[in-house]
Amino acid sequence: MGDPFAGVAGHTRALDQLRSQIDTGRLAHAYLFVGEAGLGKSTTARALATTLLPEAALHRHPDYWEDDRIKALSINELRLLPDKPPEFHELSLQAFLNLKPAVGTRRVALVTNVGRLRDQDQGVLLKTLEEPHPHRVIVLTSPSLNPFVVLPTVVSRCQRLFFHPVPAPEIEKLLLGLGVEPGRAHLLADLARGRPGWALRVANDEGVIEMHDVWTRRLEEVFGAPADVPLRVAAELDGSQMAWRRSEGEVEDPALFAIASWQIELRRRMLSSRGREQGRWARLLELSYDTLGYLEQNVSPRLAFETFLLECRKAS
Amino acid sequence: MKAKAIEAQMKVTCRPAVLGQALQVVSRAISSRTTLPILNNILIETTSEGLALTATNLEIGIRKIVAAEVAMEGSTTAPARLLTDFVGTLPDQDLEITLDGATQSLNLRCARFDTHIKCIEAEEFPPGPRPDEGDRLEVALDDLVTAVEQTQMAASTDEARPVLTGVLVQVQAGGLTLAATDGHRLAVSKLSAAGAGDLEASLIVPARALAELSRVLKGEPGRVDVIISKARNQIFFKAGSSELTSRLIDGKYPNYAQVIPSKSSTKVKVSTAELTQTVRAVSLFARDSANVIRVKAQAGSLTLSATTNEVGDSKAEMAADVDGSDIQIAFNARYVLDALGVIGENEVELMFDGPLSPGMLRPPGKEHYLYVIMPVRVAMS
Repeated sequence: MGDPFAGVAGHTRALDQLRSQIDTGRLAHAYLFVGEAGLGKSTTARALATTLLPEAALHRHPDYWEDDRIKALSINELRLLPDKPPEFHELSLQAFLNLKPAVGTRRVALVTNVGRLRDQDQGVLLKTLEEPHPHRVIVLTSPSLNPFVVLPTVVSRCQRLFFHPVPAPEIEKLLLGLGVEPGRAHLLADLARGRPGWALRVANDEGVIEMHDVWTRRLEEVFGAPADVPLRVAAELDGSQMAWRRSEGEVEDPALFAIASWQIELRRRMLSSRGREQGRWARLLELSYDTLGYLEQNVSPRLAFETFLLECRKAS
Repeated sequence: MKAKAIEAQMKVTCRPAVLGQALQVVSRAISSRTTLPILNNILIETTSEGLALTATNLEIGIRKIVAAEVAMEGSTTAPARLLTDFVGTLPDQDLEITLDGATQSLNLRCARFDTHIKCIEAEEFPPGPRPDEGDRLEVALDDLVTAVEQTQMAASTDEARPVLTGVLVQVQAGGLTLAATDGHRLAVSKLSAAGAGDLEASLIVPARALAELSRVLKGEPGRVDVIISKARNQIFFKAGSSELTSRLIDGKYPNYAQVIPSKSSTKVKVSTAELTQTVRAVSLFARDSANVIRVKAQAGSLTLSATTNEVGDSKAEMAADVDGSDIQIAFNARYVLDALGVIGENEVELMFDGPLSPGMLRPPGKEHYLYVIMPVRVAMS
C-alpha cells in the first residue's frame, strides 16, 4: 500500500503517528485535529478516511459522513432522532454512526471546525465521542482548544493531533509538484504563512500576485515619506479589512495578507543590506510580527497599522 | 473512457403507467438533501427481467423491476423527481427510452413527446451489496406486514438507547420473531418461516425502514424472501419484482424475554372493538393527567375510569369474562390503544398479576402475538 498521506505537505509528526496507528490497527475512535485554517487538517482527515474506506471514492461512499461547510452546524444534523429531519445530510451524524457499515468494515465521519456548534449542541456529541460502536472513526477539527471554541469535555474525549504552520520550502515543493511555475510557487509559499491549503486555493489566482505587488508598492511609498502617507495607507488597509469583515467568504483577511507581503519585502531588504541598516530592517521585521500579535488581541487594528507604518516611515 | 461511454448506451421500451407506478414507489427512498446530489437520482439499469430502478437514502434502499423490452443494455442515474413527474403525465402508449452514453442524456419518446433528461453516470451511484449471497428464508407477505405493524409502533423514540429505536428481528427454531420495546411496553410477534433450517440470527432493523415495507411490497405475490447478508450488516425483503433493503443498527438488544410475565392471577376476555371504543372515550379525561386510565376487573365486568381535576371524570363499565382475583391497575391509555389497534382479533385477552406487575394483552388462545405494558403506580380508591 502506498503512503496514504502522500498529498499532504508538512506535519511529519502528526502523520507519522497516524501511519503507525493505521499499520498497527490501533486507531482512536475520535480525533481532534487542532490548527488554524488551511494547514491541511481536513486533507489529512480525508486521506485517513480514504485509507480506511478503500471500497469506493469518498464522495459516494455510503460509510463516510462529512460536514465541512462554513455555516453554523444545526443540531438536527447531529441528533439520532432530530425534531426536524436534517436539511443537509441524508442521515444525521448519530443515525449514521448507529448503523452498521454498509460496504466497508468501518464508518468514518468528519466534522470540520467543531466550534461551529453551539456549546449546548456540542454536549450532544459527548456520548457519541465517549463510546461509539466499534469500527467507527470520528474526526473533528478545530482552530484552537480555547474553551470558548470547543468544550473541554469534547476535547478530553478525543485524541488530539496538532497541526503547525508548514515550512515554506515544503509548500513550494507541493506547488511545484502541481505544475505551478517556480517563481510563482516560491512567492506563494512565502505569502502562505505556513498554510498549504491557502497556497493551493490561490495557485491559479492571478489577482494574488497583483495584490502582493500593490501592497509592496504601498510600503515603498511609506519609506521616508511625510507622516500623512503612512496614516493614509493605514486607513486604506483598515477600510479593506472592515469590508472583508462584512463579507462572508473564503477570501483571506487583507490585513494579514498585506503584512505577509510586507514581511517578504522587509526580509529581502534585510538580507541584501549590511551593518546598521540591516539591524534597522530586522527591527521592522520584528515589529511586523508584533503587529500580527496585536491584531490577534483586542487592539484597534487601525492603531496597530499606524504604529507599524509610522516606524517604517523612519526607515530610510 | 470512450469505449466505456459507448458501452453505456441503453435502449428500452416500456409502458409509462407501469414505469410511473414503480418510480413512485422507488422515490420513497429519495430525499432532497444536498450532501450527495447523486442520491436525488434513481439508478436505472437493464437486467434480464427488464428495467431495474433503484433508489437509496443510505439507510434504506428500494429496488423495483419493471417489465420492459431491452434492445440495448446500459445503465445511468436520472433525477427522481423530474423523471417521476414527467412519466406520470405521459399517455398510455409505448415509451421508448434511449441513453446517449457519451453525453449521459436520456431521451424519452412517447406519443407526441420527445424529451431529453440530463443524467449522471451510474458509476457515481453509491455501491450497495446485492442479495445474491446470504442466508435466506421465506415468509408469507401478509404475515410479515401484520407482524411489522404489530411491533414497530412500540419501538422507542428516545435517543438515550439507540438500539431500541429499531425492531429486533430474530431467526430461530425455523421461525421469525419481531420484537420492539421502548421500556414502557413491549410487542412481540412470531411468524412461521420456510427454509430457515437451523439458521440463527439476531438483527436490529430501524423502525423507519420496516414502516416502508408494506408500501414497497404492496401488490406483490404472497411470499417474501428475507435475505440476511453474510456480514450481518444488511437485510433484504424481496417479493416478486420489488425489493427493500435496510442497513442494520449496531449494538446488542436487551433480553426482552425476561419482562414477559410468566404467570397471571387475573385473566379478562373482552370484545376488542368495545374495549377500544371505551378506552378512547374514557382517555379523553386523562389527557391532562399523563394519559393514565384505571382498570378495575371483578367478576363479570371490567371498569375503566379516568379523572383530571380541572376537567372532570369518566367511568365506563363493560361486560367481560373475568377469571381469577379482582384487581385494580392503571395504564397509559395510548399504549393500550396502540395494541388494540393492531391486534386484529374480535376478542382480546388481558392478563394481570397484581397492580405493580406488567399487564399483558394477547389474542385469546393464540401464541403468535403478545403485548406487555408496564403499569402506572397511582393511588387506588
